[in-house]
Amino acid sequence: MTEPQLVWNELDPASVTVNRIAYGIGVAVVAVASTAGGAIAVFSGLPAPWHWLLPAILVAANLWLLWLAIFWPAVEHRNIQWSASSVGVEIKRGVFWKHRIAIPWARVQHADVSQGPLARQFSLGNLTIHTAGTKHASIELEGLSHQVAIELRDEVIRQRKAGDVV
Amino acid sequence: MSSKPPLQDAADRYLHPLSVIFSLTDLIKQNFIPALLGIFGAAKGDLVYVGIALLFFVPTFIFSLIRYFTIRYRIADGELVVQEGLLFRRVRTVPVERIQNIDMVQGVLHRMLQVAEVRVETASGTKPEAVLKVLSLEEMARLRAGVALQKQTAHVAHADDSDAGLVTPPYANSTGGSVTDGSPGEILLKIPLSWLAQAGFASNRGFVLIGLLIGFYFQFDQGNPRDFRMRDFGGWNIVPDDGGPLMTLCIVAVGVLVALVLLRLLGIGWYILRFYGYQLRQSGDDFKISCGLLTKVSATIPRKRIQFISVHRGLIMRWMKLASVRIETAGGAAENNENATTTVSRRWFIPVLPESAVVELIAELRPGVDLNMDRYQWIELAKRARARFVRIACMVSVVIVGAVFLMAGWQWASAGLLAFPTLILYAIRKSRSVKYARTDFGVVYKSGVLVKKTSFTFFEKIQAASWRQSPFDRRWGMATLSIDTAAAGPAEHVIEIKYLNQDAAREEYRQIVKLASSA
Repeated sequence: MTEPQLVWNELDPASVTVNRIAYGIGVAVVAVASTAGGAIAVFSGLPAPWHWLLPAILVAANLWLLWLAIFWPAVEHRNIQWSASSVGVEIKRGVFWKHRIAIPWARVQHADVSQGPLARQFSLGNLTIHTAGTKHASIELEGLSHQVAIELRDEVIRQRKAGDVV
Repeated sequence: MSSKPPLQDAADRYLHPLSVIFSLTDLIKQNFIPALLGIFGAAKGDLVYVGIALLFFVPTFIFSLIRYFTIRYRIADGELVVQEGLLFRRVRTVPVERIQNIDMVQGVLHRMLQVAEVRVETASGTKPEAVLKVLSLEEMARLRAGVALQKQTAHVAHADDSDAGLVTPPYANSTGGSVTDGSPGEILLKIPLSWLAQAGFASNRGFVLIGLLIGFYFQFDQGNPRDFRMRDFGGWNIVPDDGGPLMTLCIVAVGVLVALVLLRLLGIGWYILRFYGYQLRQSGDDFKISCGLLTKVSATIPRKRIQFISVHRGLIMRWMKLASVRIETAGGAAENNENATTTVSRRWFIPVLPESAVVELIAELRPGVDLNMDRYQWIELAKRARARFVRIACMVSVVIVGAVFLMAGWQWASAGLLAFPTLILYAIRKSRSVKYARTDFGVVYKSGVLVKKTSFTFFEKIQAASWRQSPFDRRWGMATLSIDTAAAGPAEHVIEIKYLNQDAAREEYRQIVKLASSA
């Protein structure tokens, strides 16, 4: 391949922590709901094997979810990378289903940086790049450090030459 | 048509007074059920229903009256200004240069009253930028002429500061927009009635209506399905009860034949109703379509707005050596309903034309494109794609046969075995039908077994490219390549090529992005 090697960048490591917290909150909600549901079922008189089997299954399922919430964000983080080259922005992601997308600079309409409450605590930001396309009308890159997100947005705006393209 | 001068820095213009009538008919169309209730109620002398209907109608009617009396428009300083609202006033300013087209829709009533519904479209969003219901024909001509005049002056102004640093898209040098708007232009294509009849014959439009009829039949016939006999149809005793099985078979065959003929006739009717008197004209860099028997539609498509050209050839169309051409322009993508203007200008750009005329026509739409497709370097699917399609076909067949077995027993399941050869044949044909080529102007994509589709898009219109690989793909060494353009979808041939060889897909993905970025 004659073209220059792409430089792949990873997301901010803090995004792993943020995702763990976010998933953790989800798991906590599920745990509370399943505890309540299980308790109601058990105390309303479940037939013989189920009065201990159901709670056991619920506990196991919740533990598995908890393990997933801790372990999965790190896997995800390893599998998302982005690159800004002379041609455009390219993002590759996906653990099992691999996906790559590239947007030429000239096709960028505009770009936003947004920040959720949790992301703000860790000074992370999401970059959204908009094109005039259909399926990929907006491409999101979540979990950049806020500073990088802003730099990248400025770069995108600087590079884009989109006139009246459509 | 217009004896009056073009609309130019004029004072506010209002809608035609007849607008009120059209707002009323729209209202009845939208609130069909309450209207029906009201009529039934009135017929029975039951005033409660009339009250309910009025509850629906009166407020909306008053609102629409207010809307129609407060809406006004003008052209000033190169902008079309549309203002509406009494309490909450909304002023919409559309730069004349951004106006893609001024479309016109005329129903029978519109034509009798010499008025038209006018839609001003830009590239943005899914809806027309402004809808003026209704204007007199004279007023519409003035609006069109006014917009054209403004575009012309704006163009001259642009030529003065040409080093503004803007990247000029192809054809920009010749896009005075619709400088000659209003002039009829050169006729590129006229569709005679015979072609329409052929296209209607080839189409499956009639199925929609047949589906409706079947729905009605089962809606009103709540009888036991085991007692179902031919004579149940409308209570006609067309099958003698003591007739043998041969007799019944004959009757069924005749019935199917009649239904097929009816289906085709309905298709022909639909085509003639929609596209009667079809004309495609070119004036400057704009293409203009006008057609319709009862509801007349006229639409303008600027050449540089064409994102995607797609040639469709159905099975019967191919026998008759006919084809249809669809295009995609930016804007209006999400509008999926069979709305008259959008349907004609996007989904049915050219409803039917002889196969031999297609290449010439595409050359008109997009000059300077090499359309000698034998010279393209076609990339086919991965070598093992056929095996993969066949495997899927086998799995689907097994599921079908299994389901039939569970529901109807083994006699029917053995008939279901027919699914195997059919699906496998289809799979083989499908794997062969997909072809892709990267040319010097853009990308060409071919696919389809029954309806063969060939689509063209251009590097400067490609918004993004992506490459995808599922775990299954990885095992087969394949990948999916997809290309995104603005407002993709109406032509029903989105470029998403599955089962390409993974290395070929990746290389194409890289090349497309590179070429698109420099186009």
